Amino acid sequence: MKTRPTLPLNAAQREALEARFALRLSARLDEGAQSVPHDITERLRVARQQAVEAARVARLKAAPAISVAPQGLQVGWASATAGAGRALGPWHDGAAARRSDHGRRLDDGPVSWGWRLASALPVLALVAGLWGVKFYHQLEQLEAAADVDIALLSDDLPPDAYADPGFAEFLSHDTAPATAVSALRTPDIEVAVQAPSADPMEQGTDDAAAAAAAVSP
Amino acid sequence: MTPLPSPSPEEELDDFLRSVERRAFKRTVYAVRDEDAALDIVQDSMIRLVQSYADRPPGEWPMLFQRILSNATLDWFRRQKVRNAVFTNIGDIEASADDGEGDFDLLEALTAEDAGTEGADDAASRTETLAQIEDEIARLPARQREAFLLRYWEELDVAETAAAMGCSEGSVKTHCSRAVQALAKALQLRGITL
Repeated sequence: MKTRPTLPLNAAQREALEARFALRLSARLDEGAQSVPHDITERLRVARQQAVEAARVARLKAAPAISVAPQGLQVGWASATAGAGRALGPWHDGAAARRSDHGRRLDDGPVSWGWRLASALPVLALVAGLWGVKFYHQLEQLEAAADVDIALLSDDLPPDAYADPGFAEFLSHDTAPATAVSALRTPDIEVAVQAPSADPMEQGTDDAAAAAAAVSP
Repeated sequence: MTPLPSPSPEEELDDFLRSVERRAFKRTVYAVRDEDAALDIVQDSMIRLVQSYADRPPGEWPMLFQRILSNATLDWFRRQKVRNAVFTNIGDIEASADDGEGDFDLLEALTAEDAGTEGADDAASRTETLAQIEDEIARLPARQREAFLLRYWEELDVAETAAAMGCSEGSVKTHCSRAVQALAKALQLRGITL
């Protein structure tokens, strides 16, 4: 049993009914689009950001003259330093390129020699600093060794040394006195050697006395 | 009072893409029935738009983006080597839709809501209803679905829809009418009223 009489619809009425139904359906679809899962929205956001970044890069490529200003063209605060900019020459070109868009990018074109030199300066400073540190350490080591040698050579010769066969051999060597003399060239140093009375060391005592005489100023 | 600074081209582009990205994703999911593939297609469409048409006036972006999205979706089907099967199915479904068109009264699908039955739906049933609607839209033939979504969801006019689809305005009207008839009939069979 029909509850509603079916009337024939003309084209305009049918089109209006279709549009009404479609708009209601679209409203439901809008609800579904707003309830997209979070991971999907994040991936869409990343895709959007990549696209916008691609557009920015394409725009910069299309207008390279904007990022690298010609020499002498000054904009904004740079006009106050126009004279200095011209005087700096290639340095100024690099400064304009950096100032134009928050730092240098890969598509900014060739780098001026001024900026290449400036980028090499920290490396040169580092090398010079390392060399200075190495030289200072070598100097400190030499001074420490010299202090030890001076302390050893300026100290009194202990008597037990004359009982040491090795010391006797050292003194009996031909070059030993000369070496000792060259090592003790300080005028304030005096090596006091007393001749022992024992016979077995008589020869060595004579040599030691001769060495002491030679060392005395 | 200082005037507001005009947005940069990137900001305008970002705003536009933000406004269309979700609908573009859903529309592509209806077509390819694969969320990962739909995300790839939407991203590819965004890149194509900005690479080729970023310098166009922002007013032209909606129609251009919809056309790019349609082409990217078709490219995906070509890559999947299922395009022939898809269009074969379209022919079958269109024929069956034509057969039953005269027996269906669109008013039946609309007058039910006027009685107030929709207000009784809770959130769960609304979600289920939405899923069924989306399922029916995904079942539509590709050209009908595209015409319906562009014309009524993206709110393009008939001429813009025809330009985006690369067909005549008469074809757009026909596709839209058949899509509405098919959706109304399918949803009524499921007991869904709008």
